[in-house]
Amino acid sequence: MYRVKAWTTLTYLTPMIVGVGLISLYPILYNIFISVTNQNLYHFRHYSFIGLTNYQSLLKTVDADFFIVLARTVLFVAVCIPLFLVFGMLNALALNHPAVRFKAFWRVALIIPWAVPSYITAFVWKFFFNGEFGTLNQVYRVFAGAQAGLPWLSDPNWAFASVVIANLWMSYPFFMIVILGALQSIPSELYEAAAVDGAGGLRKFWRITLPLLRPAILPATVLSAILTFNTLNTAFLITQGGPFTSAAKPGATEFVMVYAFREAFQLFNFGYIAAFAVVIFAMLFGVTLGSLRFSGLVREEAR
Amino acid sequence: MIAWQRWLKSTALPLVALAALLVGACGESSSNNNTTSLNRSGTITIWHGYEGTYLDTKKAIYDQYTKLYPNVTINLVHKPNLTDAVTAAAGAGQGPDIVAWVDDQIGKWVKLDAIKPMDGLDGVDQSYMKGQFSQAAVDAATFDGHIYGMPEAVEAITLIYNKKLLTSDQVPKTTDGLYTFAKDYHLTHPNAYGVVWNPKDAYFQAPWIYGSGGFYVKADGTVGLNTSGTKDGFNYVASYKGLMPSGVDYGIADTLFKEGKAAMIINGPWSVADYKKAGVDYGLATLPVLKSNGKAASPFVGVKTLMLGAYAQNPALAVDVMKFFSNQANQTTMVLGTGEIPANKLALADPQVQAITDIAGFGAQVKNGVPLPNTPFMSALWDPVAKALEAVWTGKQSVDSALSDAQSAAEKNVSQLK
Repeated sequence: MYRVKAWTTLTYLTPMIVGVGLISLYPILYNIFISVTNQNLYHFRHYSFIGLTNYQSLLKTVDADFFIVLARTVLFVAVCIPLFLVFGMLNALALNHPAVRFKAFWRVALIIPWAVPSYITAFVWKFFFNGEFGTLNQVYRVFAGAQAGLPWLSDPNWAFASVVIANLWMSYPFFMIVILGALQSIPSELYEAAAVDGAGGLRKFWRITLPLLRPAILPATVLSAILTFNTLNTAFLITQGGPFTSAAKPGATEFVMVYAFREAFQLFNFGYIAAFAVVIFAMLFGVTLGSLRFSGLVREEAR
Repeated sequence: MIAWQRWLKSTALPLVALAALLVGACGESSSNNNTTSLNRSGTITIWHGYEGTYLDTKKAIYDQYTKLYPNVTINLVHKPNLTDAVTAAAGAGQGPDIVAWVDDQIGKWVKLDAIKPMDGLDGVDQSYMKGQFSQAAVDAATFDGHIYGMPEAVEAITLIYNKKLLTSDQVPKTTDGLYTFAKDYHLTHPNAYGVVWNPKDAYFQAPWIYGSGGFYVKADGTVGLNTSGTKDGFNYVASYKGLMPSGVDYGIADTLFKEGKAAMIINGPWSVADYKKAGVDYGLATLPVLKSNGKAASPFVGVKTLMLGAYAQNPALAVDVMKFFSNQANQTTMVLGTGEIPANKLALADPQVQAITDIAGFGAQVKNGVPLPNTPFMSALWDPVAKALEAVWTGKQSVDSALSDAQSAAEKNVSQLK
């Protein structure tokens, strides 16, 4: 058998090891290091080791910012993902239906929200939602009278819904594309056979389409859930994390990344927010591993 | 400590080597001359946020310097997010020779090692500063007893009115008068407003809060959000609910005034060029006197300042450039071009400068102002105060509970910075 010397292998691997080390490992380790220091505006260069104090203040009480922010973010993901799925699925099914004409045109039109830079989309939606001059309220006033208006961005619950709507607009094309690709790979013989056996449209969908889409939908869902969990642009650009109902509590749309951004780059609490990031990272890592195992997408290769 | 050692290796050693080279070079040239003469050669990099007329006018002054001393090159670098850029560069142990920005960042940047004092460099001391600049400007440029900046222009918000909608003697003189005017005007013009400003930002509420004797934070870190003066200021702002659009912010207030849908606006000198362009015939008036204590409303006075970068390689030359830029003759030329209010008191006294109505108008307001705090603790206050204002403005919290939450949030932030 041909044997390769260890150092040859290592030489070939070096570019990859250096790359992963610099881009991925070093920032994570540095972040963990910062999380046990008191680095902030006053202790920027000359910070010191303070042990787990940051973690304590993070998780000390049940009503700490951490848990409020985390619960809101989980709720945000739980609301967004089913909406992405339903809208992506409906559009994909429509695009795949033989009765629909000008498919190329529709496909491009429906992908546009995905292709536009997200900060532009966010600002457009911010204008739509504006209470005084926004498009949505102008249309609403036509029906409800000149003084009417919905508190799109000024009421906590409405603002949450606004961010969900804008995020849905930006994210459903991804699901549409993934599902459409999977739909087109389902052999038409299956449907013909089902028709021969007397299955109706709904039955075909539940028994053939959905099970065969599963391998495509699952990884897309996991990926999208993580991306949605880490939303910064959409929420920050539309609401800046607000509306705020008190100076002592996080805002209604202050999701994990918005909170981290504000604490790190507006308040400069680097040590505290590094601890926050470590806890969030550990959680996401666990959830991702668990969901991948559970869905059987990653299996140990049989030797 | 690990971080310290890393820093030593990556930054300090090359810097020391560089410094040694520079000292060697300087030592040779200055050995023949006396200590006060300066070797005017090298490159000075200035980070700034100037645009349009401001940039053209200021660049002309720097061009004059390089014409006088051809061995000096001055690089003007426009930074769109200057405060973030300076903060990030300081973290990496880098930065320009000169930073041109408002003085409220001084405390923060000193703590971040982004800027350094210039006392004793090229003859700069307190008596030089006091001879050149107004007292407020000298105070703004001083932090912890050291001089960190060479002031250029001062700015404060004032009352700007649309001459087509009201005459100068209709402009209210007291806070009660302003409120009554806004109420009556909105009644008679349901689609327009008597006075607008951004009611959700700490900077724009300073006139009412500091005028009432309240304050945000002191240099020692004392937070003043639960003082009765601050409460009075908050109550006054809250009384305008319904007299301004509910979603009003800086941009909306600005647009309303430009479109003639607001008779008055509270805004700063940076805004008037746009109003001129929009065809608004505007006049300036000082902010009203507070009914409660008879004192004038006191806006924050910010001072645009040239600061010495912590990593400036030729500090004496950089300070020389700053002194040239901020001298009487050049500041007179500058403000005649830009319409800014000069921090140089000799330039402000110039009859040509005094003849400009905008400068005289904002200048009158500056006299009633309080210095924009340059303590780093101020960075812990903007956010809680803005949130409290929002909670009050949208009716989610009463003034009392909003301020008590903001007080505890701000105290927590301040304690983390100590």
